[in-house]
Amino acid sequence: MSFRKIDIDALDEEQLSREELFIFSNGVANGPTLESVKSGAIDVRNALTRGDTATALSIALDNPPYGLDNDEAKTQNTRSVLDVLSSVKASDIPGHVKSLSSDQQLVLMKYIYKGMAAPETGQSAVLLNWHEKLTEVAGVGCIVRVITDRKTV
Amino acid sequence: MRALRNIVDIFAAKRKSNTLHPYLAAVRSTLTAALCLTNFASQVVERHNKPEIEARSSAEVILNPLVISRNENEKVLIEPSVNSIRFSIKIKQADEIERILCHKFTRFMMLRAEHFIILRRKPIPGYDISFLITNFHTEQMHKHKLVDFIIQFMEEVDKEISEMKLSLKWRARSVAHFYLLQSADEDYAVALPSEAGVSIKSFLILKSGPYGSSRRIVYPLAGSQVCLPEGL
Repeated sequence: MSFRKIDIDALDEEQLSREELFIFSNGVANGPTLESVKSGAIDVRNALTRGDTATALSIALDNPPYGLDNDEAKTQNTRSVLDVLSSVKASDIPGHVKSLSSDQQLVLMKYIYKGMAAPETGQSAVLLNWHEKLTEVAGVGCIVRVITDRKTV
Repeated sequence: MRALRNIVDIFAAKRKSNTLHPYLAAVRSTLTAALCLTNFASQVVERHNKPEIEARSSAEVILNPLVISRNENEKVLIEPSVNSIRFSIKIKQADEIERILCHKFTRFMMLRAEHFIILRRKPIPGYDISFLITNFHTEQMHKHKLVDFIIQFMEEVDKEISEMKLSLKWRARSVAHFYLLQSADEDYAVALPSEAGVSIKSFLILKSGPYGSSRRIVYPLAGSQVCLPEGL
């Protein structure tokens, strides 16, 4: 009886796979590797120790790793973005958000949602604050782009 | 000491409401963004129209799911697709009583899901209650009112559960009071310390009668205070 359980729609040639969807949305298969992300993380940390959170934020948000099997690099970059977000003072958030380009705002929104998906790190309150300020500047359209973009961080 | 505790309570309440506001604001904006739905017939079966988030017939119509969390115990999951979204809430449950009350409350509503129109009959695993909103709902109802309804539901459900918990405790307390008043003619009641040795979990009531003494152990409800009869 197992033939009834075969998903015949998956065998359809016109069925799109996740890989194809990723490439259709201008995703580059060979994005930043773990090494380049790690060297970026060192730059971020140096900027943070200087107290220059604006530079740290833009370094962390530039050229983020996407890819479908790039999980280690993704986790690494998420960690450095969240480090930056938690070290910015609440009163400085609107200024930082306004200074970002719209692409960077989109990437930041992706990382905010990614951070909120793991509440056990205890950063939800900070991220909610960032989310509120970012939505005021970038609008609901930014969230729509996060929802529809196949290039997940 | 009490004044100090009051101040601490006030600050705790303030901090709580301060994180509640951005939480609900984030849910509101994300839900508004996710509710861009359109009529979309099934690509697999002719003349069928199914909510794609439930049918999951193909990958391109399912969009990225988003989680918004306030802490580990309070979060929402929004799963968007081209013609429907699924919205799941994990309600705050601090202790065993709240867990039971929450289960009873959500079950009560989910059994009557057809009256709530957008309510799903079963929650997603890991969450307490789920809503399924399709393009037909957004066509029949105002989108902003749907969002308002869900936000109001999230505000009310916490309040509702804490009120139910208070009335349950009050009831347990008065039941225990009257129960122990009845046994006031008995000689004495001895409080048995619990395993933790902090709260009193049970009482041993000793009664001496013409045929010797009897002993009985009384278990008041968890979390209730028990008034001992006078003279003990």
